[in-house]
Amino acid sequence: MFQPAHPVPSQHQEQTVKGCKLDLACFPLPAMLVDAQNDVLLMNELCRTYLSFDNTLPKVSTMAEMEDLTSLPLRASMRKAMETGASTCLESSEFVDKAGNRKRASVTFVPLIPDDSSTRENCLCAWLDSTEEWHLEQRLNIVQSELSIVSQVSAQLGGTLKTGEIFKIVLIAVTAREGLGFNRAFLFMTDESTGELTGHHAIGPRNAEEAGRIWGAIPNDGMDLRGIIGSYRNNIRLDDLDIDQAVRQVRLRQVDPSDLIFGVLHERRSEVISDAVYLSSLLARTGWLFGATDLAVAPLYSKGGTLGIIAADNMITGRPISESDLEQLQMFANQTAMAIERARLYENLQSHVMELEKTNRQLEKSQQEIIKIEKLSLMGEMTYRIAHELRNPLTIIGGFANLLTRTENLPATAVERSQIIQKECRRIENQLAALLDFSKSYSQEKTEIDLNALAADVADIVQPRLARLGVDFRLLPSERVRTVYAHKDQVLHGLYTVVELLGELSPAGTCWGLLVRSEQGRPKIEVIPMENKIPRGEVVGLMQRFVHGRTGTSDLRLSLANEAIGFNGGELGFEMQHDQPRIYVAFEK
Amino acid sequence: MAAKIMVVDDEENIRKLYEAELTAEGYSVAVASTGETALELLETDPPDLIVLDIKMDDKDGLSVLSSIKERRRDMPVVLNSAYSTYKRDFNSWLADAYVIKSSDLAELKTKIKELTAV
Repeated sequence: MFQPAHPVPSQHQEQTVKGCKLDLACFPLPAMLVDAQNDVLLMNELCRTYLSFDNTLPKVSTMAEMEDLTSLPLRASMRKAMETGASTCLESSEFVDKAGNRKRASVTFVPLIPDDSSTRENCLCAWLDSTEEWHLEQRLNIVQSELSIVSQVSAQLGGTLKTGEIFKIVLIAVTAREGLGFNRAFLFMTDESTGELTGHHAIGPRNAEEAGRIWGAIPNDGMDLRGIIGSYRNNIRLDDLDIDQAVRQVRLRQVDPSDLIFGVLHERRSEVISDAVYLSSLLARTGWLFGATDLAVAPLYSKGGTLGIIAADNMITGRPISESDLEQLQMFANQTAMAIERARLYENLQSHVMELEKTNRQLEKSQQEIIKIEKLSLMGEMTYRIAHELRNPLTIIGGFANLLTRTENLPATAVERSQIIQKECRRIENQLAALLDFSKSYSQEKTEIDLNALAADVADIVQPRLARLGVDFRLLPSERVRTVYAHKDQVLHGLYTVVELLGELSPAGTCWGLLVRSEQGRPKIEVIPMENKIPRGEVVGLMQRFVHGRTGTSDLRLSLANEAIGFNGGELGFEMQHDQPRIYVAFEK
Repeated sequence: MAAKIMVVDDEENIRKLYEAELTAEGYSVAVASTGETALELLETDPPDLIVLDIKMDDKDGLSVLSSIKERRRDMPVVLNSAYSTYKRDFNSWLADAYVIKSSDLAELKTKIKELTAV
């Protein structure tokens, strides 16, 4: 076992070993003197301390024993030095010292040649410790890894402006092995109206069995976090997960001021909650969701206030949550909050842009309408003046024709011709009256029009007039329809003209009905034939003349009516529905 | 005795037509081509009723109507115009009737008959 080959020299004691003078006590590094037979001849105090030997511990006597202790290939390196006569070095080798401390050192072997000999009989073995650098390197690697994760998540978050995508990315990153590696992650958002935390999304297995199934199915093909997120974003539907469905049913209300989750939210500091009593109450409030012994919670906050929390646990593996895990979770939370804020700003911006676009479209439409109205107003004004200028000569022509008719001894042909002149004058006067009504209506503003009331007005106006022609006109029981936004006088004029024309063209004994109804959301006013004594074919033929431009001698009045209805978003037409002919005025949905 | 009707219109053929028609109806008819002439005749040879055009060359018919009513409040006046819009002008409300010009003089004749019946 450990038998001292030689007494360990005290400090500053010069030793001569087989003609080799050596003062190891003064040597500035931990060092040993070893002979060609692998016996440790000397070990300085620094070396004893470094390797955690003290007087109470047994001493090593051979390099074989040193190898057993450190698991370093010391003898091979030393042999090489002895054989070549040149120094050799075991670079940055990790080992465990006598007390079990993990260390790293470079071990240098220098062959020694005694003064009186040319044979290399001893070897100096010096230890250059690099444990601290090693630890720093390890820390650096961890920080690099953390930064890499954050950077990859940032890159993914930067690639989307949809909140749903953001939630998905961050939850995948928190739970992916290449990310934070939590078993499960939950996202709760603050309900501003109630102050409650509302479950939004969650990811992770429900239990160990499901975890085994899911994790086993995940291929390990060396993808980095960015690749994993990209792949999962396209392949995982959070909505399909039990845990996601369950969390969306949860609303957490602050139970008391010391409520730990709300403490995280309000004080804006992440925390690992391990309070068994609190976690058990949380489990009771959330069903099976929160059953782990530790729960990491990080707040999501932005300039605008607290947005919610991200929670994560290791319920399946039971792995403890480290400070580093929590720090990273908070970093993720910060990234997420920024991304959410950015997405919300973008959504607001988009909504404003859409509103502006809509306003712009409306403005363009209004401008076109104004231009049209201006044109029509101008036309209306001109029509109005011309119509009046025509009235005086018509009055004179028709009036004198009338006088002529009554002249004594006038030949019958002259009387007949004079009557024709009178009749045509009356017809032109009627057209002028329609033209005047039409032009007058364009000076009106648009308003909400009650079509049921409008139909009743038309019936009131037209009934006595058509009754004189022997035509019966009835307002039928109707359903109430929604109002339309239009120029009331124009629509009234249009509908009135249609009904009046129909009445004028109808033979005595004809009966018509006027009704209002809604057809697939379109308000419609319809004129339908009632119990008529005249043949159906004749009635239908009469009604078909109301397809625009086919009214023959009455086309000017119908054109004006059609224009007035069309200008107000309506449509004048004829149709057969369920074998029932209808003249209709319909408006958009 | 036949009622005397004064027709005020700047259109000569209208004046001739109305004169012929109203004479045929048994009225005594005086005509005036301007508002000024009408007001003068009102003083010198007052009629029983005035048929008054609105748009005339010299003077607006509505201002002539005001002058007539200032002088002879009880003088019946029938406004007779090609324009219907003057009905909305409150100055036209002073008139006893408003008849739009037409080759069919039936309405005008009816109004005149009603207003001269008393």
